[in-house]
Amino acid sequence: MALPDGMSACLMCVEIMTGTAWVDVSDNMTVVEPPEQTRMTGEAYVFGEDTAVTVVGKREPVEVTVRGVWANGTADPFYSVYAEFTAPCGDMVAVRYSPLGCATSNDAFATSTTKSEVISLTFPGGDSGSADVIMYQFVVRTPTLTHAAWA
Amino acid sequence: MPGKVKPKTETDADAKPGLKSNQQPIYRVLSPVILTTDRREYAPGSVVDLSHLTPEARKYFVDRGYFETASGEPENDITLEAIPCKNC
Repeated sequence: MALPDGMSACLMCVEIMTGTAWVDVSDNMTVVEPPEQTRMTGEAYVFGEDTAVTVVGKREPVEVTVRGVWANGTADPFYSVYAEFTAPCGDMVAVRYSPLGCATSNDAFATSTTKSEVISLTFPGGDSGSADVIMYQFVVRTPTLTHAAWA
Repeated sequence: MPGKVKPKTETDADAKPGLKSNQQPIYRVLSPVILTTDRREYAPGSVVDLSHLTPEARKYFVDRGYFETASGEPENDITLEAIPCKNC
C-alpha cells in the first residue's frame, strides 16, 4: 500500500468574517488548533454481560482556537475580533481555514456564519526577559464545522 | 453530504435540452463550494456562473459531483475575477 501524500500547514489560508464578508487574515494568523467535535455518549450495564450497552447522541458544539501575531493599530484583525467579543451579548466571528490554501479545488473548513461567537480572548502581553513575538488568541464556539471546496 | 449525487462526466449529451458546451457556463451546486471570485459559500441547490473557471476546471468539478449543468439566473456576481492565491 502506497504512503499517502502528506502535507504541512505551510500553505494554509485563514479567513475570518465579522460582518458579511470573508477577509483573508493569513498574513496575521499563526495557528489554528485542530478542532475536535464529539458526539454525546451513553452507556448502561447489565448483570448478564461483561461489556456495556453503548449509544450515541447528537454532535456537540465545536471550539476553534486561533492564534495571531498582534500589531499595533486598529487595522489588525485582533481589534475586529475584540469589537465582536465586547459587543453586548457577544457578536458573530466566523473562522474558515483551508489547509492547502484558498485556491481552486482545495478543501476548506468553516464555522457557522450565523452562530459562531468568541468565548475566549487572550489579550497581547509581554515578557521583559523574552524576545518572543507578541501574540493574541481567541476561541470561537459554533454548532459544527462544515466542509466545502474552493471553485 | 446533502445533495450528494453520483459523479458523472460532463458532455453535451448530459446537458439540458438546448444547452450546448459553448453556452454560458451555468451550473447547479450539488456539494458546498466556495467561489474564488467572492469568497462566498454556495449551498447545494444554488445556481452559479462558473465562467471564471476553464472548461477543464469545470469538468473536474462536474466529474466529482460538485456541479451539474443548469439554466437560470446565477446567484454570483459574474463580473468578479478569481482572487489570486497567495503562496500558490
